[in-house]
Amino acid sequence: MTLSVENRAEKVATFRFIHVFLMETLARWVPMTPEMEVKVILGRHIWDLAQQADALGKRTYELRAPLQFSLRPLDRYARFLEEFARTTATSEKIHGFYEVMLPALAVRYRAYLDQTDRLLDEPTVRIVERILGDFTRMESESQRLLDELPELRPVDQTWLAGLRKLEAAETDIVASRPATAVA
Amino acid sequence: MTSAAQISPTLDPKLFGDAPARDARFREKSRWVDLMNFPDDHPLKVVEFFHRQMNEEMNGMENAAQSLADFPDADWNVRLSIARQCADEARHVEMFRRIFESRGGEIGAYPVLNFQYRIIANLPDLLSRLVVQNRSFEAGGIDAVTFAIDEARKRGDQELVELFEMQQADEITHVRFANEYIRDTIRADPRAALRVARALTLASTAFTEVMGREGIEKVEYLTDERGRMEAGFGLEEVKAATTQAIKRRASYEGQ
Amino acid sequence: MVALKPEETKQVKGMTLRRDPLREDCFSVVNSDAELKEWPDMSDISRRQRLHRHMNNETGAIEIAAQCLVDFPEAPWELRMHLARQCWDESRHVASLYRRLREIGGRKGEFPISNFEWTVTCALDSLAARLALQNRTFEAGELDLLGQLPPKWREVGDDATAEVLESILADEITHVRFANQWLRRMIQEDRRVLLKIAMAARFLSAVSAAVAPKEGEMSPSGLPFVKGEEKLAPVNIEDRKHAEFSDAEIDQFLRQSGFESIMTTGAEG
Repeated sequence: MTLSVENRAEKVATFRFIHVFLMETLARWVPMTPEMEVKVILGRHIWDLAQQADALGKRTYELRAPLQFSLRPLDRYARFLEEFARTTATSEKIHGFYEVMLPALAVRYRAYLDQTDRLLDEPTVRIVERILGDFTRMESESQRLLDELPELRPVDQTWLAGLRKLEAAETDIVASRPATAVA
Repeated sequence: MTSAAQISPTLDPKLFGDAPARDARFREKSRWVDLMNFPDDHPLKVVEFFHRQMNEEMNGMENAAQSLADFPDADWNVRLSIARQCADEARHVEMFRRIFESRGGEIGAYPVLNFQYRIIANLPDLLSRLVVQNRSFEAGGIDAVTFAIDEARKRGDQELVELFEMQQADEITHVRFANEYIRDTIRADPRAALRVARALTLASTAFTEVMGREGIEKVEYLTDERGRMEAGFGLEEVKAATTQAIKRRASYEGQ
Repeated sequence: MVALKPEETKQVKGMTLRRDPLREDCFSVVNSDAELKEWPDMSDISRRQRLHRHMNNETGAIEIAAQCLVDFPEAPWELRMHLARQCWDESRHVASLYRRLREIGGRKGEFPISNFEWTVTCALDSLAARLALQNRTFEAGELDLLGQLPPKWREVGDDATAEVLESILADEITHVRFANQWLRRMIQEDRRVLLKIAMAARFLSAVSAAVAPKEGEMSPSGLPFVKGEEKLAPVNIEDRKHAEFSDAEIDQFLRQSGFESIMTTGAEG
């Protein structure tokens, strides 16, 4: 047994929620972050996250859920995201987003790819593969940023490890779909 | 990080919000007269302009980002366009930085203004922000860039011509999506036109406060009619903008 | 599109249809569904035949969408993107059905196949007419069928096939949806498109009647034919035009032929 159409829709909608949330997080950070180079990379990646969310949102419609449907993850994971969004130090924003959030999301996407039927669900697979490719590019751009602004390299490793642990604490993050959201 | 309160005690707090964050390289000023406004034939005139423009693009990005963060319930398509605008403005920052540094500039060498962010992010709704940022400031930018392209071409500065042309193409798309959004919003709720009028009045008052007569008098360009049409302005709106620009210039020239 | 050349057509019971698309030698191609072997139960051979037939229908769906891309290069780009996407979806359907067919011991060419949908749809000379038949009639009919089939497969313990069919159903909904959207748009822009659709409906009725099994005829499996779906009423549009029927009258006729929802939107525009 793989995933049903409904399972896929819920997982894709949950991923969409996370992408929109991260897009908003980066957007909130832009005016509040002093370093010009950091503003620039965040500005670029806001658009990456928006395009990824858009592709996922078009896919939810094909999976018989509403167009651009977002499903809020389970409470504990949603609270973790909100906590992460409150990060203030620039180095923590950069290390947290590029070294924890994106790789962790990539792990969740790979788990999805392992779970779904790659043929039946190939449109989702293609979107996910493109997103994973984007993540690789975004991470390498963040490395270039750190080369340019080495003062951002030092980061509280305990904080980073804690973030990683919190993210990984929830294996399954998909909440059940409210009845009203069914297309 | 600099703070708005330290640098601009005299600006009207009803019209201006907090300044965006800047790193220690930048020196923010409140008014146009506090900038280094070199005469046209000064060797640093163009380089200083790149620095100023780079910071203005940063304001554009910060405004778009702030709107994404502040209005999560806005229609997804307009949010998508705003997200795209963030990336475009980020590229513009990099484009101006590249040409600025390649011509010997050093970031922070000149003071900057952040009035765009301080006026626009202070507006309470998305319609007002798009009216002021995209439909007014950026539409004005289309006119200004057209003039700047001609000037750069006259000087034989092909690198700058290419930069401006790319910037202008992007700005036209920003004005266009805002025009569509504004039109749809007013069509759905005609009372929204009142918010548009209020936002324009506030922005105009605030703009005059920053620029002063000296800054406004310096405007040399008229309207880019073709660019404005591509950006979704109606023919009547374009004509009105042109008439206004001609009158404005005539009034300064006549004094 | 350019008119079909004689070598691109075939004659079946007095009707001029598009010649069959190419198939491998292992397949035995017949002219109508009535010539196919089918079994009403869910025995092993019946399950293989159902998958085999569905697989070929999906192959035909790729071919029809692909031929639309070839025949109508001037169609709006957004619509051509939908058709290209449909090609991909139908290809995945073929692959998934073939995979399942092999898993239950079937093989390509085990049963006769018919390319009825292709031969009728691709004989039409307008994209609107093809969308009306292929997406809005044949695929919309498949929606009804696919909605009912998964429980039937699950009843015999074949969850894997049921999942394949459910995934296909999700895709087919998107194909019917884009066709409905585009047909509405086309009709809003040009009400003569309605005439093309009406003629397509009439053509389908005529072909279906021509190839339908005669009273008392037995199927190739040696079983009596199951009564087919109610046929569309023949729409004599040409004669009505000669008789100077108004648009409203043609509208009324199309409503009777099952195109009511499109008509309503068209009338609003």
